[in-house]
Amino acid sequence: MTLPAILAAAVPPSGAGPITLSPIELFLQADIVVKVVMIGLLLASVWTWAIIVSFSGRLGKTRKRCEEFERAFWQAQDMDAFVKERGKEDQPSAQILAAGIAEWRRSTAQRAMKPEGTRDRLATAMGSALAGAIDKLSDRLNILATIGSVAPFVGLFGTVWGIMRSFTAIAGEQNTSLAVVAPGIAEALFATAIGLFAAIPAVIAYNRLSHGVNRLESRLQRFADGLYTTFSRELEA
Amino acid sequence: MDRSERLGLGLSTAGHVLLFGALSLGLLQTSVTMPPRQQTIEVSLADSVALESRTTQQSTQTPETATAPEIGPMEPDAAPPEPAEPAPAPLAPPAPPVEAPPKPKAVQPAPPKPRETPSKVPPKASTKEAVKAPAPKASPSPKATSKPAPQRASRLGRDFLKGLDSDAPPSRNPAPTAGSSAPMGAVAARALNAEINRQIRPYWRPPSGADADRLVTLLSVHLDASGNVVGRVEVVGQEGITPSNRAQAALHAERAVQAVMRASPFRNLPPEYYDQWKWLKPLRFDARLAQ
Repeated sequence: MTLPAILAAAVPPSGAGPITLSPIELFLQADIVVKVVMIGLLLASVWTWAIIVSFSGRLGKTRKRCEEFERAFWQAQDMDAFVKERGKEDQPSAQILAAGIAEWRRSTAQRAMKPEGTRDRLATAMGSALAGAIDKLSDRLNILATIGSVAPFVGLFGTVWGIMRSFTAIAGEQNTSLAVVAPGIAEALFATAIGLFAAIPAVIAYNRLSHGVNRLESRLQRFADGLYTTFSRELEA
Repeated sequence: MDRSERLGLGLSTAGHVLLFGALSLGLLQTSVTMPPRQQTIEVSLADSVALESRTTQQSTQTPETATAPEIGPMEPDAAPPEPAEPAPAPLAPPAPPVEAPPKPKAVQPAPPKPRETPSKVPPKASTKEAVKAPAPKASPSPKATSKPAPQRASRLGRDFLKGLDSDAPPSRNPAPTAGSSAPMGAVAARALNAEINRQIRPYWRPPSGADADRLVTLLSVHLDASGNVVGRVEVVGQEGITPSNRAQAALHAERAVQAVMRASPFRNLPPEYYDQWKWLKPLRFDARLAQ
């Protein structure tokens, strides 16, 4: 009358250690896929903030320099001297002015100048200079938009993957107590948390910075319109 | 990548490192306090159900408390103490102190025995005392001098060796006969419990949920001689009900009853201990049983 393997139940259940929710612990316990997702999202967050810092700095500086340049331009007595002095500056207003002046000189150098054609060319030249400057300025904004829209999905992917894995582990263990289920789900949800952590600043910054770019663009557009009216008046004189 | 971008990258990297460092060091950490786990100790591994009780060495009678008699003055003719008595005749020795002068005839029936028995006796103090006290001249016969006859009253009770008697009365350890009410040893009882648990375990599926592993259901089960469940399985009681597992308690009891009904008939239960397992009460169902 032998009883094999009786009281194997007496072995105490393992894994009853203290539970911590520090990011390092959650990261180290996660699956490799979830780890990759977390690292990617963290890098995206770092990049987002780098873009936010550098872009808002550059946008503010550009706007200030444009304002100063336009004020100085409208107060200048001699346009040729002003252009010669400050026409080479690396900022949108100066580029628009330089493009307009160059086209003006090229057009007025012809012998048989037609005012309509010259006006068209002036508008086109200054418009393209403005568009080029704005394009160059808003180069990084699309990255913010991408991160803001994609990061939550990437985090969700990590979470779904981690929950699938932990459910598989639960099925293997045949123990469905909450203490077994909870840690895996917590570390899986950490991926979504990082995704939102990266996406929320990216979306806010994208909206705010693109609004700033739009304001700068309309300001430059007004400057170009002012130039155009000036050139147009000169043509008729 | 111009200067402003490098500056931005540096700033954001530093900010992230700071933030995650703070999180890791526990500045914003939520401490999770786990409820204390139930202690699962008291392991007793029993390999087999014992067929025979092993408790024959120990007496089942409760030993009488030994009361020391008053230490009286030297009584030259005190009665010989218990160890000196010949074992086979237990009724003869308690001689009343009145007829203290021991007649040689009364002692004589077994003269060599008293010599052997003192050596067996574990408490040496009494024998030493007895040896130290030399027999006074008042010893009635020359044979009595060789015999350790203490003149003082002993501190020990008369029956301090009762439990250690090698030849105990036959009623104490009966030969195990089938169907009789054999008393069980602790090892045999544990082995019987383990055997019953082993047969129930495949059918025992406790409900899961928060704190469900704290629930304990106690059943009362009647078995017949062939191991079948007789009559109704009754829930005697439940323990470990907390607010979070209250909803599971009824299910827990129901599953316990189901497990017993499905495990019936119980096999391999020793018939000679039928009295021990004909009424299993309480039969305990808890989380440990399922593991």
